[in-house]
Amino acid sequence: MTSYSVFIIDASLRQPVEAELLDTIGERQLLDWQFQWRRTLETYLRRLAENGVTRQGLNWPQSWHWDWRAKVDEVRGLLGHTGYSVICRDVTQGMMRLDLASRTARLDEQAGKPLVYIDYLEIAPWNWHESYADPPLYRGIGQVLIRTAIQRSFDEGFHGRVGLHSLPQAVTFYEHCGFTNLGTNPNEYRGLLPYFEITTEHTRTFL
Amino acid sequence: MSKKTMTLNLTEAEMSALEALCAKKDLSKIGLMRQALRLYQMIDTRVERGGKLYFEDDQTREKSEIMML
Repeated sequence: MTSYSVFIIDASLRQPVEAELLDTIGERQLLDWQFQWRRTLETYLRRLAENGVTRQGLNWPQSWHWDWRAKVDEVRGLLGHTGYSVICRDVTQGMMRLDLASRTARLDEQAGKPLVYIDYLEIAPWNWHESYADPPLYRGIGQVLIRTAIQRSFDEGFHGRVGLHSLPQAVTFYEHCGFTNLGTNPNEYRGLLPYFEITTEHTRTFL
Repeated sequence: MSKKTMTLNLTEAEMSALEALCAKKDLSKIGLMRQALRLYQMIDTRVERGGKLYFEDDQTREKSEIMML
């Protein structure tokens, strides 16, 4: 396991704060998810329900059912998958699972070439900037993880190419990161999740 | 991460195929071998878990199963 120093933003102080980027999702992160993320999420979902937001509503978090332990177990020991986590003040603030092997690029200028595919990316619920949620504690975690995926793509010789399917609630975030929206496909994820990809050229502006 | 080195002897045809794939995929030979290993391991694991590997014709929807040895 390797640890890197990164900076995220303390949202209340509006100041950068040092955090740790790990090239793994370890048991410690899964325990944080199980006992801290889920508790905050349950409180938030209760608040949504009290305010009349239903599971089908636009404000209901679309990753509410994600089970990170299952996601990590599913690919344990596979060379083509890896994970990263961001830790700040001893608590996991974000996690990402990558597929390094089984996806290829779709944009015309890089079609058929290997890329890093982001299987899942999520930040801790107390960092969400959403209606009915408490103000976020930290910002910039998603950007750190995207930058990490791009850097991994360069390290693998994939020239920064990264792809992913986005939850509809995260579309704006990926557009701001410089990804191109290639739209939905009825044969993928029931046609609900648009596919995004970033080119080598666009990664340079993001990095 | 510590790394191990190995020598790989290929026939001319195998080397030609390797080089053609490297050019097509924009990868180094090491990168391509690494991708091949990752993919082979992933497929083998999925098949061992009971999954099936097949190609599907986009037009006819006909499926042909790939047998893993």
